[in-house]
Amino acid sequence: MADELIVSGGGSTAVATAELFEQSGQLQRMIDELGECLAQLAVIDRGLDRAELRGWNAKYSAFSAEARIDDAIGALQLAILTAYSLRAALAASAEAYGGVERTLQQLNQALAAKFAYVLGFLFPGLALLFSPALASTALSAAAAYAVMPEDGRETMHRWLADQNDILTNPQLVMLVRLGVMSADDFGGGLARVNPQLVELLGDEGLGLLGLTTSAGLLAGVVAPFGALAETPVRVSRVSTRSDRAPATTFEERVRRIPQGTSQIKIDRFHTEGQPDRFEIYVGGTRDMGLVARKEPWDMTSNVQGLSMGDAGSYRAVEEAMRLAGIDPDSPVQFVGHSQGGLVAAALAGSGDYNARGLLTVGGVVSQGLVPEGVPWLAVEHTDDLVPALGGNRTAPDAVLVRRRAFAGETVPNDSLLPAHELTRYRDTAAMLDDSRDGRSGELLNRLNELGGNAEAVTTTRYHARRQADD
Amino acid sequence: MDELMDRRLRNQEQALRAAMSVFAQASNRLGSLGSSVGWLGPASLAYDLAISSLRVELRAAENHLGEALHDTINALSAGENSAELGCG
Repeated sequence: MADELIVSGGGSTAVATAELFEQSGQLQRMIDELGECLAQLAVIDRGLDRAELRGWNAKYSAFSAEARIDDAIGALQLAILTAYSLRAALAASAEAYGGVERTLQQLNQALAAKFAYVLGFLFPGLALLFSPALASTALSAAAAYAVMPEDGRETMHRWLADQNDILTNPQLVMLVRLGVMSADDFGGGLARVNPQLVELLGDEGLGLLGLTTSAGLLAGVVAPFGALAETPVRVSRVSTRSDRAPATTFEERVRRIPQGTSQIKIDRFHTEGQPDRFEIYVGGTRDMGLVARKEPWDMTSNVQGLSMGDAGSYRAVEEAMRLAGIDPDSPVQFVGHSQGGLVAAALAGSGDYNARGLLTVGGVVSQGLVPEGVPWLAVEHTDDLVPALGGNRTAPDAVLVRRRAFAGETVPNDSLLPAHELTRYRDTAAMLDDSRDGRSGELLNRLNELGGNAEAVTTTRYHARRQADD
Repeated sequence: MDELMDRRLRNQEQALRAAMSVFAQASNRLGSLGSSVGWLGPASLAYDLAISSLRVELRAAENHLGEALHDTINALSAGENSAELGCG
């Protein structure tokens, strides 16, 4: 169960395990090969006929060979029919599963939206009842976290890590996703807007209101208190090396996502007589604080990125790309984890670059940032809370690969949200490489085209800092 | 006349070998098929049964192809023997 990869998207409505899609692919190839064999036998059969053999006074074995060829043709026709039936059963199963999943998702979202609207509608009354207690608790907690020394925050993270069993529960992840998708409905109820209008403008309707507007609203509300406020960023080169070959697997790509001090890594592929191509790797959130400090990979960038605002991490990658010599025509592709996925998707979908591909793992990818026309594979753990913060995905062309990282296993409590860790996504990427699933295999081939004939590969790391206190 | 039949039988032998090579490729794919795709209960049994049936059909086709090749070679060698004995 833990090793089961669920694949969806790629322009298809079918949803199934990678194993099922792999078997379906094997059956299709078998049908093609048996068909080719059958065509060859038909030609052989026409090459010699019994009348000719009789005319030549041929031996019995020559007649027998003709009869066996006819038998083989019959057996092959039957085998092709059986293989077709098996493949059709697999396809029907995947389509049915996809249909049920979509229906349930729509139903859940509609129910959550209605519940959130009612909650928002009642909120002023509820707030009057509970606001003294809620406000004092929230303010105390926020103040305590803000003034808490580093070891105090460590203690709090350890306490939260002890709750990993709950935080790594797929049901909670689903509830968070629904909650995120229903934030606009809560706001609509709070503002006493007609529910039909909220539905029309929201995710269930025209999609004008949704996660992007909710995140923007949040950033706007807390900005006067000094939280989630953007700053300028400065980017510098950390190191350059030129002895690596291009990444050729999903696992290799995930392994190259930076985790240390530097947040950005750019591989430059050089081939004589061709323009340079670039693969850009973007790391995940480093600082969980609500107030911008030195680190641009923080909550400020997360919220600004989700609201399609001016996120520091986005600007940092743009600057690193400029330093690497990337112009709007340079062929580029992006790989990102967590916030890196958000930034990568936003850059790929911005239209400012010649984006050729995108790979996100555990990415907080908002609906409004989905790049159209760019081959995209997203890997998500169903027990990882973080991708749920990006809401529902609405990119039918993107290939989505899901896996439960801790199915049937004890969730470790030595770190917070272990299902979100890059090492876990590396394991999933390695499983995907081994699965030989058709949709992901096709996408991998497209990603590999960029560095396919590279004569030299140069890897440069970049480090970005906020200039808040400079 | 014998020469023409001989040539046609040789062509048939080569074509059969080529067809058997394609068939072997297709047949090898059977090894990766099984009910590990997530079928449950009766669906799993039905799927396994269909795969068994496919296996039987492929084995039958393989046998027929093998026999056809064997008989073609026999017909050829019989022709050669007749020619050597001068009775063709």
